[in-house]
Amino acid sequence: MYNKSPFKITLYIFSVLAVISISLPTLNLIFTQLLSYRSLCNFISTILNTEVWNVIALTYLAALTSTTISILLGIPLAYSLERYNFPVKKFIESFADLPTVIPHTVAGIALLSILGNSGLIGKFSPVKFVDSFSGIVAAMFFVSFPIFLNSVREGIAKVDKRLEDVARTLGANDFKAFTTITLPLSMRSIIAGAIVAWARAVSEFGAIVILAYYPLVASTLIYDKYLSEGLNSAEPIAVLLIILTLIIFGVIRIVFWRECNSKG
Amino acid sequence: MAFLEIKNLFVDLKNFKLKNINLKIDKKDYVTIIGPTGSGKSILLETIAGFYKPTKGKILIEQLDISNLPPEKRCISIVYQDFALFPNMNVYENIAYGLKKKEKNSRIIKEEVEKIAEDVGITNLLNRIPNTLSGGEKQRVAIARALVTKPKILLMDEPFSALDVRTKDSLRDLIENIVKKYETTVIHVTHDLDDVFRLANKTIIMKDGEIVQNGYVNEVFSKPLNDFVANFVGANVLKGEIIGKKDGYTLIKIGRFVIRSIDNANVGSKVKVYIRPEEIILSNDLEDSIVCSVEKIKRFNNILWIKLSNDCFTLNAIVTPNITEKRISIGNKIFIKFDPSKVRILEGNGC
Repeated sequence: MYNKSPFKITLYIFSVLAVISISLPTLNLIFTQLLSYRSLCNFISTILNTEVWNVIALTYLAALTSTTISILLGIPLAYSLERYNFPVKKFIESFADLPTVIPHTVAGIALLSILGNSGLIGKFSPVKFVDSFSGIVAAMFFVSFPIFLNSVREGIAKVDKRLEDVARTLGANDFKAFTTITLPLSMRSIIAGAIVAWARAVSEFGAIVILAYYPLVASTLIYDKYLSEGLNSAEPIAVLLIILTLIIFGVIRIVFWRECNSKG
Repeated sequence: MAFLEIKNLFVDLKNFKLKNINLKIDKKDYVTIIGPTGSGKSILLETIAGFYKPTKGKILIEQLDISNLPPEKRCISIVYQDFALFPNMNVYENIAYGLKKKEKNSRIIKEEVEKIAEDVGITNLLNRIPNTLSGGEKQRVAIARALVTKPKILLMDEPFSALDVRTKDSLRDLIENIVKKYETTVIHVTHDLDDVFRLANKTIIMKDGEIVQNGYVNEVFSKPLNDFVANFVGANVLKGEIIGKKDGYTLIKIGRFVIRSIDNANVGSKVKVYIRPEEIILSNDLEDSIVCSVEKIKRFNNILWIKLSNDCFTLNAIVTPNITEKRISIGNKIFIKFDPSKVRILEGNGC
């Protein structure tokens, strides 16, 4: 029987407030856009605009590239940090978390100072980072990597190290023990981390605007439209981006969650 | 020539150290390691497995130094208390895991898995995933997985601790039979003396990262080298003085009582006397008997554990209930005797 204890009522009130705070601005934006005739026409013309689709495709591609780099670099680092003790471990842990605690414009300035045309790497690199696709990926990677890293670390920490030890006694070398035991068992956290890191990359603005304003990605296009043409021009693109991201997010979650759950 | 030999082994794990471990184990020995929590039993086991690198010393199997070999090259398997089955694989895949490295032919792998599954009684579980199994079933799978690779040594770290009494008993039978069948050398860490008596021919007692005593089980339990071992193996420790010799026996004065031992000791020396609880004899006649009153009684399956005391000492005794049981109730006076061949003397430690 439902127990209406003061504790449960308080939980209910605060939970409802939290959900409203998170969803109201987004839902309001979507519904005002789709429910008024004029806005709907505006939205449809945005959907039919190939320039907008190109920008969104570029955004998703850059986010995917950034997430792929996070996966390639993040899994080995997460495993090393979780399984081994070494002298600079604490230092690395602090630096890995840094992008999440500094303003992203600061992250952009830091990136510009090293990847810019006169920066330490930018000066010698054959790849151009300022106002380029590489710059967008670099900015996205910088801000989304810690999210991926922490998620994977959490997943690896949950895998009992003794499972690897047992695998070693059964003839597996350290790499095989990792790929056959630890990696599959932490796959859920890896996928979750990759999805959130990808979404974080899609939403990045601060670092991108400083390092690579052009070519425009979704966040900079919306900002650009807002500054040059006002809210009415920015809103349809924002709504399109929200809907597409929600769909992609939902599909990925459903597909991978089903996959992970079916493997126990 | 010892099958496994450990020479002057030191392991430093910052917060714990194994110190000067020396050990010789023969092929097909069943060795238990016992000792209080934190004595280093599991660390020693895992060092033999190759999970910790010795700071000094050597581990030799058949004279081959394996101290620097990675775990996968040692041919040693391990079974843990909490089973450590791979949750992402079914029972068949768990058992086949170790075979895949050695054998590429899937038909042979299947035959090997089915054979060991039959030996440990889990043929019907091969398609199940570990988290659907009971504790006993999981441990059978872990044992099968460890033995299927035919390891030179099987290490077991408290394999029965997480199981109920009945399951524990059936697994002891299984282990007893299967290690004989597979002619495996076993090193088994345990807290349960039943494991020692039921399974082992040799035992090691550890304390603070060191081996305090090791040898054949009977030897260690009947001749503890010091107070710690005596207490740990449950022996009674009494303080006394050698007052003379008579008819080939050494006479020991404990308080106002005199008891006999076949062990030799110098007359006049202060000694400690060890008597195992199960060696105490309940007596009906007063001659040569010691009177004690019953302070506590605990009943286990088919034995009684009783705490006895008099004005000189306190003793624990283990007796099988029989007609004398009627006399054993709290507060009653009973008479006890000691078999001189079971009274062990350690000189120089008396009060």
